[in-house]
Order: sequence, then structure tokens, then C-alpha cells
Amino acid sequence: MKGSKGRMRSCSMRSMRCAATLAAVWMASVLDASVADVLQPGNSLPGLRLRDADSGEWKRLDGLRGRPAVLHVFASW
Amino acid sequence: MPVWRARIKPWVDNGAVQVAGVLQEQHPERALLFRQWKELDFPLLSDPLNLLDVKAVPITLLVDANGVIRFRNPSEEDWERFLALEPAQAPEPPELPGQAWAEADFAAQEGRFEEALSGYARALVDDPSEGRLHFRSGVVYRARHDSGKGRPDDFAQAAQFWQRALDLEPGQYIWRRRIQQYGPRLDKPYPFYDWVKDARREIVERGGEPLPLRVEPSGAELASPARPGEASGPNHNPDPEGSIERVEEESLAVEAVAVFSTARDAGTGAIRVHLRFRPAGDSGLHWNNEAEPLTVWIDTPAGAEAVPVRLEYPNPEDRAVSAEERTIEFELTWPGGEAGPESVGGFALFNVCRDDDAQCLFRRLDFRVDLTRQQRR
Repeated sequence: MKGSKGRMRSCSMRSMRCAATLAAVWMASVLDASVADVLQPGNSLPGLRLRDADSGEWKRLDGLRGRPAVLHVFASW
Repeated sequence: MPVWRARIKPWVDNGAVQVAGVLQEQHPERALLFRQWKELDFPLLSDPLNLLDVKAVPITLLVDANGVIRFRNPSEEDWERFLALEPAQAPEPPELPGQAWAEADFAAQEGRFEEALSGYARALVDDPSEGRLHFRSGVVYRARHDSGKGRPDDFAQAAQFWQRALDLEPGQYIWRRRIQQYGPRLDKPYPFYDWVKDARREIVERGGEPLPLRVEPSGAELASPARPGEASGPNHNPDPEGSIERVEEESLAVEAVAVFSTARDAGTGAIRVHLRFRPAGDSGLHWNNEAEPLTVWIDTPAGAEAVPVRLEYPNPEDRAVSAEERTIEFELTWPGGEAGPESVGGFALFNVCRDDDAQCLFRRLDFRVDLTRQQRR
């Protein structure tokens, strides 16, 4: 999970990689603060249908209701 | 386990909080291996087309029981406040940009590639400057390439569509990363999938079986970033006199895709070239895996540097002969501000066996890649 906190912790093994990863995290945070998408506080989750990566079933993003939820948008690279 | 996941684990374990992920990558099954490696347990949704229209990752959202986003990339205090919040009244869901091509998006995710590409192509006629259409077209071309049912130029088409998308919206870092995944080392912020080998080893060490990957990461996807002037190691031309007999050109298929650096103002220009070799279907030839491996020599163009200039494709160890496609990658760099080479040539040396008389041959094939045909800024 490049750029995630978990990845940041693991980067201490190799300093150059760590620096690159931290730079990427910093860049993502700067970019993230400056761009507009619909995932903003006060908005409902969009009614987007996406496939479950395990089963291939279609699921709605706005189906995350009924209980508080944490939604993590990421990539494994 | 990520810090945020550890923090909320008690609430997840007792069912008070649910967790889900949305993947912004071309091959979602790689994230399933990542999840297994990190011993995470939440469901993952695939969004290779970037339908969520985010520009960068990671993004962590705290969503209340009514589906309202309350915090984005929360601070320590936000987590505490979130767990004590009453749900807000839900406003109408926002409209995502780029939902006008839902039928093509649906077809793309169902693996109906031709239908998806036709839909995007029709939309591009009306709106050729819509970067999302270019990006999604690139995703579908690459997916068809990876499906094993693709056409020879699918990867080249993907690279060109992605480049066009990024030209239209340079600040879109999800799109930029998709190009960098296959692009030159000079343009890489980090190795994209070097974690896969560590993940597999650790999963096996703890008694598990790593989840399979449909498409193995290779070449550019594993490469580390490079710096201008980085040493390339010793090389020598394996056939400087050109004395090895040439194969008939039509008996070995060679396809090339050049992926350009995404950096507009870099001090060094760079391209990563993907060369794909395979015996032509009607050639009656197979790779001979019991002799020297496929070797490629790059004739460095004037004013450029090739890294590496000599490459080898290791023979499969489990088969004496085979006919699979073999991909070899190299990079060209040149001083920033200059136009860069218009073409690059070289040759391949390889061992093949003929089906009809079982005779095995050592042959050479000369090639030249026209870089001006590839879309570039």
C-alpha cells in the first residue's frame, strides 16, 4: 500500500527507498488537498457500482450504510 | 497492519464499524495478494477505470451510518470524534464526473472489450478532449492485452491513450502512475511491485499459500528508479561482424511498444521500449530451451544512451521447446531539451527448432523500432 502509513513504517529498512516513499506520501497529501473530487466531508457516498475483487459480484459504494464505515481508496503499488 | 486499521480494530471486531477498500490499479488481484500478505480482512472493490474520479491515493474516508462522509484523511482527533458522532441527514448523492458512458464502463468491467472500446470511441468523436475517455480506453486496451485474446498493438494503444489522457490533465496522478508502471526508470518514483516476492515468501513462511496473480509483474513494473548517468554495467556485442545467419523475417514476429516519460520538464528525456518476440504461428518453429537464451543487442542511437545494451531472456527450465511470447525491455535516455532519437535498432540472437525435421538452428534477426510513430509530446 504505497503511500499508506503501513508502507511508511516498513520503509525504514532502506533509507533511499524511505525518502522516495515519504516524498510520494507528501506529494499525494499535497495533491489530495488541492484537488476537487466528490469524496468530500458533508457529501453522501456516490451511488457507484463496482465489482468485488474477490467474488466479482457487483456492489454499490453507497451500500455502506447502517453502521459507521471506513473507506480506504488505495493501490498496492 | 496499517496504523488506522489497528486503531479501529476493537470496533471492527465487535461489529460497530465496517471497513472497505477501493482499488485504483490495473490488476486488482495484486491487491488481494497484498491484503493476504498484510493479513487484512476487509472487502476490496475494483476500480481500474478510475470511475471514482480521484486524482491521487491513498484517501481514507470516515463515513457515518447514513452514508455521509464526515472526515477525509482524518487526524488523531478526528478518529476519536468520529466514533462518538451521531449520523447526519444524508444529502442527495453527488454526481460523479464521467458517468455519461456507463454502458461502456459496464462492458469494460465485464470483459466485453470491443463493446467498451466502441462506446468510448463514439464518445470521443463528440468530445475528443475528454481525458477520462482516453484513460479508460487505455485501461481496456491493456486489459485485452493481458487477457491473452488481444491484438498485437493493444499495449501500444494503451500507452498512447494513457499518454493522451495525461497530456489533457497533467495533474491526474492515478493516470500518471498507470503510465509510469510501464515507463522508464528515470520517471519512476519507486518500484511498483517489488513487494510481491517478499509477500509470497512471508506468506509461505507462515504456512499459507500465496494467492495467484493472473498477470505476473515484470520488467518495468519491478524496476527501481534510475538517476541520470547511472552506470549500466559491462556489455559487449555478441555478433559484431554480423556473421550469424539471418532468419527469414516472417518466421519470427517482433512487436515494439515505447512508453515515454511523463515528466514534461525533466533534465533527461527517457523512453522504455518493450520488445515482444514469438515464433510466427505458421513458421513451424519453437524456441529451443536447451541452448543459449534469447539475446538482444541494442545499437545505441547517436546522442542517446541505451540501458542495458545487451539483454537476455532466461530459458524456461521445465520445457525443452516452447512457443510463448518473450518480452525484453530496455530504456533510452538523452539530454533534456533535445528531440530524442527517431528510431532505435538492434538484433536478436536465438535458438529455434523446426517442427518438420526437428533440426535446431541458431539465428539472428535484425530489427528497427520507429519511435516517431509512437505518440509523443
